[in-house]
Amino acid sequence: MKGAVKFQYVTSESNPGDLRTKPLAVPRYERLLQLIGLTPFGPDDGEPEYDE
Amino acid sequence: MDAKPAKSPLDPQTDLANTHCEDKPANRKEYLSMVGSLMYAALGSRPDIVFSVTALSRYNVQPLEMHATSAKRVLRYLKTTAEFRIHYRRLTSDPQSPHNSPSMDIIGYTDSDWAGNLMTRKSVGGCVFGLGHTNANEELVMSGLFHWQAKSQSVVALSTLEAEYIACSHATQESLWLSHMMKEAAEGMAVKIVDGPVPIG
Repeated sequence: MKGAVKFQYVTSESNPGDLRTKPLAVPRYERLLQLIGLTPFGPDDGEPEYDE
Repeated sequence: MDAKPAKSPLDPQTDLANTHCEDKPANRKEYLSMVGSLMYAALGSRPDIVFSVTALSRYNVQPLEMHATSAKRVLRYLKTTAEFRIHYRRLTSDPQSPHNSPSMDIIGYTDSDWAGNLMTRKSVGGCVFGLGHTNANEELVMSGLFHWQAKSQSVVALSTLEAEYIACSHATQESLWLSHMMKEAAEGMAVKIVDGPVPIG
């Protein structure tokens, strides 16, 4: 299992882990939601695609 | 429900731990019902409210009006963001796309809030995991979450560094079983954990 996990530092501004530990101000909160892919489902998103 | 919109689940200025204030007790049955409903959403499809629900559930025994007000704010937030979905993107071979990559890894982010619980002085550790990759600029691009947690740490950390390491250790354990599970689905996946800031000094 050696080398199975790699560690890397990121700044607090780019760390979605912050969403799990403290209440955040709206601008930073919205940026982190973008990073984790939690975004509004709009009409441009179309139908979900599936592999054959 | 004609509620005022809320853009975030919890107000950063609200001090839920201030239980010594002269606030009226809330209707406990109603409060537990709200927290239970919120927990269902948090575990299934709304990773953004996990921290709020964890924080509110600490006051299940003797909730005050301010806790009920905060729980109602989370409900207002869910109403405001009812159209939000977790988007899972597939990798493409288009060099212009941010999702252009030959392979996908499991990427996890972890962080802790040192002594976040002012009553017990215990820290909250949180982690999120999703599939993603490193792009040409060595930036991490995550496609969408599939596992998330926020948990009170079982020991009292004496510094931010210690709290961060405990959270990191927990995330590593999570990543290993996720990695084993994913390996059954796809061979050759690597795991990458990204830690939050650790102030030293």
